[in-house]
Amino acid sequence: MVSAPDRHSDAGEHMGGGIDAGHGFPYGLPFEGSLNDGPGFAGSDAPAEADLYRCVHCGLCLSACPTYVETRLETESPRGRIALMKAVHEGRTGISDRLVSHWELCLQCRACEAVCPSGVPYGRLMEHTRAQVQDNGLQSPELGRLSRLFLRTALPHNGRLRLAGHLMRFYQRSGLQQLVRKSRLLSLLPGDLAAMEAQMPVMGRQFFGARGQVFPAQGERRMTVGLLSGCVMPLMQGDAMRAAVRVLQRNGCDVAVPPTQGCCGALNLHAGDLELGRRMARRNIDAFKQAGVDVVVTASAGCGSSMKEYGDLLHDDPHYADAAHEFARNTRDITEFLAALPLDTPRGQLPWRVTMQDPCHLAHAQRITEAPRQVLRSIPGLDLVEMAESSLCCGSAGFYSLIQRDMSQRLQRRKIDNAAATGAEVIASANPGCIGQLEQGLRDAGSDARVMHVVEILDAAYQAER
Amino acid sequence: MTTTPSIAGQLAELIGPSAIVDAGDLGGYAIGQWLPVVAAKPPNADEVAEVMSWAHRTGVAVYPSAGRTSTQLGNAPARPGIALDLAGLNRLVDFQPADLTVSVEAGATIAQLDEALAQDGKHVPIAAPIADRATIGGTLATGISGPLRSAYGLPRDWLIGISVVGADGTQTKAGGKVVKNVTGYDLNRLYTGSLGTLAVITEATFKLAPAPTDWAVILAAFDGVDSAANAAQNLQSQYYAPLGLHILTGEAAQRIDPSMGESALAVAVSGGRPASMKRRVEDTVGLWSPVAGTVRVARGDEANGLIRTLTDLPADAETPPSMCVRINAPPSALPEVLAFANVPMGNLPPPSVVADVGFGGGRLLWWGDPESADPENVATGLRGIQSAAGRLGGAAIIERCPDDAKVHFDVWGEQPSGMQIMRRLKRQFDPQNILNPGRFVGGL
Amino acid sequence: MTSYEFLENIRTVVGDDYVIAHQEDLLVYEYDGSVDRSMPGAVVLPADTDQVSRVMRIAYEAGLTVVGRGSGTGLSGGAITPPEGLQIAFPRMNRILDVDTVNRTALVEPGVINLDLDNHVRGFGMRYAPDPSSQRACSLGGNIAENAGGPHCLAYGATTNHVIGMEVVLEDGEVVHLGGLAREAAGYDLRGAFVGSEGTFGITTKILVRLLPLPETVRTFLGIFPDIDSACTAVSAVIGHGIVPAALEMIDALSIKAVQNVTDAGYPNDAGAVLLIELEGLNEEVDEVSGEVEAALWDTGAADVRVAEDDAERERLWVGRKTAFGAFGTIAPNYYLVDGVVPRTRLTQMLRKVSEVSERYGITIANVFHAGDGNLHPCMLFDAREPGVMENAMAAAAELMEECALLGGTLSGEHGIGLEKKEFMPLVYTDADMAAMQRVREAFAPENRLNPGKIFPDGSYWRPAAHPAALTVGIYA
Ligand SMILES: Cc1cc2nc3c(=O)[nH]c(=O)nc-3n(C[C@H](O)[C@H](O)[C@H](O)COP(=O)(O)OP(=O)(O)OC[C@H]3O[C@@H](n4cnc5c(N)ncnc54)[C@H](O)[C@@H]3O)c2cc1C
Ligand code: SF4
Ligand code: SF4
Repeated sequence: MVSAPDRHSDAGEHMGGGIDAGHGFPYGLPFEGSLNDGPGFAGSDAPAEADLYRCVHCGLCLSACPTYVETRLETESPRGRIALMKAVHEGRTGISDRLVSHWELCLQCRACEAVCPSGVPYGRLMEHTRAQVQDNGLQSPELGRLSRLFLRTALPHNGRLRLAGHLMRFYQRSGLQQLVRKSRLLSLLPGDLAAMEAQMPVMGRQFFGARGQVFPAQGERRMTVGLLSGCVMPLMQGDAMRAAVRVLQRNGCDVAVPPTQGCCGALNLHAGDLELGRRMARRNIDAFKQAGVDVVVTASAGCGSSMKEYGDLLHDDPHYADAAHEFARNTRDITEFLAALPLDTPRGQLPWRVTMQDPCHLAHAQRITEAPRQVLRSIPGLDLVEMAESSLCCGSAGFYSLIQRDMSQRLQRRKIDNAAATGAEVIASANPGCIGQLEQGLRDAGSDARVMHVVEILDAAYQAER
Repeated sequence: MTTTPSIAGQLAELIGPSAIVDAGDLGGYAIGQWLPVVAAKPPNADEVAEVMSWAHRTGVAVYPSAGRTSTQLGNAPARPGIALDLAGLNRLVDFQPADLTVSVEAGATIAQLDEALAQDGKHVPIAAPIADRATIGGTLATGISGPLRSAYGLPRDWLIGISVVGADGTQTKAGGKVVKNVTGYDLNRLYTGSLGTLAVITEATFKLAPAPTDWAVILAAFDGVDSAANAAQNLQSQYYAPLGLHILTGEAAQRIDPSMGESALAVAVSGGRPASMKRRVEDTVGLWSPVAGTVRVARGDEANGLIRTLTDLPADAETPPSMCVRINAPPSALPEVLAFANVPMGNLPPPSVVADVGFGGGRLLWWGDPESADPENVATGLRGIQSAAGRLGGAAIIERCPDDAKVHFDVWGEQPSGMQIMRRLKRQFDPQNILNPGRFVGGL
Repeated sequence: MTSYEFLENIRTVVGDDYVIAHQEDLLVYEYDGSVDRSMPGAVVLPADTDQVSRVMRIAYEAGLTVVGRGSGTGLSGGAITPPEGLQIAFPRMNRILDVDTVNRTALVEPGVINLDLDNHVRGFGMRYAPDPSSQRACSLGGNIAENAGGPHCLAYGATTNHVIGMEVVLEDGEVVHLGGLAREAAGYDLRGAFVGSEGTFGITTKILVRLLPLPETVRTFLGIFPDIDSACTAVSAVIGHGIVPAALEMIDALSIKAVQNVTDAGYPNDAGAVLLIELEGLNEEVDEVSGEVEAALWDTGAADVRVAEDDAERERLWVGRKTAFGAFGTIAPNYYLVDGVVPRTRLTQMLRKVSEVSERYGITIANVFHAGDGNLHPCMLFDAREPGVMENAMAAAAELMEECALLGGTLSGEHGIGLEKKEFMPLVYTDADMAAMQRVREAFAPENRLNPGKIFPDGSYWRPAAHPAALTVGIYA
């Protein structure tokens, strides 16, 4: 057995008689469509050959991949997606809509990366592949529109986001949403906009408005942590953010929320917008440096995973390479941070049955699964039960749920079914995207279970002491 | 006008007169009422090949045999032919204790092999009745297995390499001398149990296991088959489940232990190392004592003797049963297998049953004189057993019955799924149908 | 039937989504776990036996070659399909249909993943013993085709010892049943012949496997040795003591390094080799044998002998073993593995040959293998982008296979012959031996429509091509 060195062969020229030719059709089967001569990979941001050929096509990642598990098609598997990248790299075919459709169905959950014995950096490969797709203007129209609307226009700008958030909250809370939904207005919108309306995250009652304050430690001060407020999280899950602050204070941390920080850039990076992502990274590095914090903590697994990769992202930036590495080294997911503390054990009882949903960017990208469980297990009375496939993506995956509606909903249903089977009343998570996705799934299923961030549960336990 | 020499003459010319069996001794090669024209007893594989090439040229049928302990098995021969006695090929070719492998010629007896391996504390856990006559080749060809099959598996599970002489006299081999091998197709398993209808086995290589140093047979009498079955199934699900576990009724039970009375007898055979044997025996006795009438433990020579008796039940040398039916069935059919003990089949009296609890199925045995029974009636009874076994998800193979009855049915039972493949196999390997013609399933 | 009609016909059977005929999609069905590559004419993914049978019938009438594919983890090119051929893939047929606790069997579809089955039946207090290192990915159908092995096959035997019945679709679409719940049946052992036939006899659509009860005790030892010679002696000593452990695996210094690069499996970095030994059985038995195993290890020069304290530690020791091949990626980008077997007492000799070959060819070779049954996996590590290196590796592999044959061993212990090793078959079999094998294939598939061109030599020497980067011609811009 040999690993990567695939033999180049096109249909027909294969094996020089190694396989007995079929008896059937003299000209073989009719391929429906052929390899295309579209654009190939080019430039310094192309997926690296060394990364590509690290994949020995052993298939050990298949059963971890949500899209493969759902479709059972190799085209929708990690190994298949890498094979398509290799084919482009080798110049056997160009980038085409069909190839792009397989790559775009990828959730970038990186479950494959976590189980790959060969250490294939799948996340990086896919980001670079998407960059190539974007450079050639070959994204699907849905992704193109979305990336113009959100990824480029809104996310990098907190002001605009906040405004949009206010409008959305007004829309939802004023009753207008009900009205619009009842009317046939939605059917007049183009398909993907109507879907976006349906998937519109429920805006929290209160946004997390803190910007620039330092929340003082309770009791003996251990250190100063910088909290990432990021982009959408303060809008959608203000409660979780406030809980995070309280929990950190309770555990002896001064909590700084640097004013000039912004979105971590994860969504841009995943979509392949490396340049914009790098700009956003530099801004955050500066912001936290100015704040003089010991560690950077985030309650969003997605943000944490991309911040931990700033070093990689900016490795050949002459001005930022070192700072980026240091920033990455000092970044912690909040569950990781708390579990390592030692945590001030809550004395309040929470007689809840809880099941943990492992966010992809926590479990796969950061390989953290034990920390949130450790935090939950520290809570008196809490019954932690494991669900099947706890680390299979819930289908949220950033803006994935807006673009790949069908797959997103299949995975959402699968997740909700698995959670329901445990009889848990609370699903614990650690990522805003997942929380939104799960909430909507529960609503659709008519379930009374709740979704809470791990720190919200911990916070509730502290509250219960009184 | 030249006279063609007799078959005996032709063969004597090929392999030497000393390899031709005296005409007066041909009776020993009878298959029921069938007698061979000539019996050849070549001393090595090359001479076997000579005989087979001759048969290939002349189209004369060849009926291989050696220990002649199982000649009863199979349908009646389809036509006249010669007996090919493999007993001359009886060397232990290569014993590698450290590799845990042994190669032995087909005519060597099981006892001979056992003895050689025991010198080094090893064994091939295959067994056949009358071990001092039953040969390796015969055991493989019939695929027959002993009372410990549920733990040790079948002969095919221990065979790692084989040499055969094909129907055209070509010598070939398959497998090898290593314990793990996926190089080419697995012909070992195909030849095993093929009743010599595909090729003549001349040599076999087995993997070995360390032999248990200590044996025990635990016997328990129960007041009926149901309580025996419950107790046995309970034991079978324990960590200390024995190597072989059987429930016996009637005469079969009497032969194992006359002191146990007219009851259903459960027999557990345990083997292992001393420390674990203590636990195995004690726990088994502890489990059975509260539910059984009597429980008795045999150790040492007595245990070995009992295992031999158990092995020999279907065909012992002195007083073999007059009829023997092998029931193939899953373990879950234990109650149904035991139920055969109460059912007379046509004019046949109810049989003794030996049910294999772990492996499933078992044997039905009749002692006494069936010759007096009307062959057609016997056949009807046996056919009834065959269809009853079919309903259990298995089959009944008539291993021994009066010859006159065989003309009325196929002793192998209903033709199995894949029969068309089997026919093509036979055509491929033996296009002239000279090897054991007519004797196997569906006349193969 | 025109070729277009053919595709239409199979689409009506399985549905449009499950016939793949666009070349861009077929790019991902042209490989398996090995090196060879060929784009199939089309791929069909049936959902049940009836669909398989109908598709096979249509292909038969169209005169097409058909190749089965499970998970595509095979290491001998078994699932590689020629452009004229139809690949029939089983990922959709992945249901566990029944678990029978009385008879200790499970009935599954061929696409069920080996580890999924094992995990499922553990819930019933049983297990499926064959555990190839690829068990997280490989399918039962593929396991049957290759007669897959694994560490625990030392005590329990390979796949063929655990498959008792099969539903099989023949080349013309006919459905037959081989073997069954009753472990013995009249007639030829077609089931036994089928296992390991590398997809050339028929397409498996249902599989009845035998399950084993879980043992009372499992104990895992790590024997740490200063060099590979003493570790080999230890293997012989254990087996020579009349002990056949449940598993007995060897991991050499280079493999230890690779594994420890990726994960801390608990192997000491400075060891010359480690042996991973597992005992299973009754408490008393394991206690008794443990003493002897430890003594044998110490006697043969072990530097240390450790026992896994708990399940977590045992798990860790095994993770190291099972991810070793992948971990070689941290040493070199490519590897090529030989699956030869030698009699166990020849291990020392064979491993000396391996290191001699390694030196002579200037190729790094790591060894991580099933020592207990003499099944080596010398694994050459190299960078295929260097010109000439592939040819070099192939020549070294050929020498190693020859040596295995010379020492009384064979070419493949568990990965199969496939395309890769077919020209080496004459090292162990005569033409007559192979003709006898071919006869069995004739009986199962008289038209030779299933996976033709594999296993037997036909003069078309298999040679993996150089890595694109090693080619001087600039077609790979
Ligand atoms: C990292 C790694 C480690 C491995 N470790 C081991 C090991 O320890 N032991 C071991 O034995 N092997 C090992 N292998 C090899 C491989 O996993 C096995 O050969 C496995 O059995 C192949 O299963 P598959 O489902 O991937 O089959 P595939 O590769 O898809 O196919 C293999 C063969 O099976 C045939 N086939 C598949 N499904 C069917 C069906 N339903 N009916 C008929 N034919 C079918 C194909 O035509 C082909 O000939 C390893 C492979 C890798 C990549
Ligand atoms: S597990 Fe890793 S090396 Fe194997 S196929 Fe998946 S990505 Fe490639
Ligand atoms: S990132 Fe997730 S969806 Fe994408 S290939 Fe890997 S496992 Fe599949």
